[in-house]
Amino acid sequence: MDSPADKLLAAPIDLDPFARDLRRLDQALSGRVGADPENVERGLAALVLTVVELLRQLMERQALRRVEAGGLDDETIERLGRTLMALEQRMDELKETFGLSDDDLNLDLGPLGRLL
Amino acid sequence: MIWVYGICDRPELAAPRRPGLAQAPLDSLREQALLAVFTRHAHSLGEPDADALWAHERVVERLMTDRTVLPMRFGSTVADEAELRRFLVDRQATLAAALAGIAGRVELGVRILAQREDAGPVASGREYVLSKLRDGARADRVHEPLAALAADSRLQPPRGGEEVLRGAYLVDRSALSRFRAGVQRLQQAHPDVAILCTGPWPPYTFASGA
Repeated sequence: MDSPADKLLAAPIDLDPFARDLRRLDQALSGRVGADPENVERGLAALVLTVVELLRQLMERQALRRVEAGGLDDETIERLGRTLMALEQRMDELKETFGLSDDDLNLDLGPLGRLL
Repeated sequence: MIWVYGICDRPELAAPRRPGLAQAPLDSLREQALLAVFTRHAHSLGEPDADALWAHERVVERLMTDRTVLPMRFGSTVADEAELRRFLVDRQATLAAALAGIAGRVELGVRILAQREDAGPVASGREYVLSKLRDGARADRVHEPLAALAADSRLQPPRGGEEVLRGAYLVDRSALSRFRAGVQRLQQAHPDVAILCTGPWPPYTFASGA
């Protein structure tokens, strides 16, 4: 196999944290299977979770912008943070339940690009 | 079945004599100012694997050495040459404009991981908000100077964990070493993040609109 090493233009000395992704790629490649009833369910879950994830990211961005703009009291910031944290955790649990990675949660909108 | 590697300018330049996927010889189809480079396959190519990804990639990179290429995403197939020609005719203007936008340019990938000293679970909502804002600021400090060195850039949302930036930068070939030096300078200036820069890649990210 061709080595991708010549593609490193600039890299930190410790590459391990980045290398974790390679294993994910392997799994993505070997995890492709043909359409069967179980797979259809997983596809539907991916579709629903993609939309939920899009809303979650928009909410988070909006909330961070409000905090950055200032004027929120400590209690509000704490409540916002707890809500965002809970949403992120819940999302991670759902992804795990359906065996989906972040790469599965995306929609190709053709000329409009990728959704997430 | 026809497997397409890329749509090129300079249509008078024939496809290079070398094999593509499954050792099939490269062929090409010309439609006015465009040339599509492809291989023919009688059978399905089976499950994709890393070797196949690299085979596709190397064909596109070979094409990039003497022309501008809109790289096709891995797995782009059409039934036959008639369908391929229809694709070229229908999208002539869009494809030509996209080619003009990437001429003389390559894609570089940049990912940034934050080295967190406080690896423990986030204790409060306030801390969560602050850490997200800190991640955003760390990403901006690197992204903004890099975007200034690039003709175009696209950011994807970071994929959780330690990642704070995942971006693609469209860079003039002549500015490659300047970009690379920029990454190294930013890495030295910001030891709290790890910056990985890969490439040069075919401009996959910037061809997606075509």
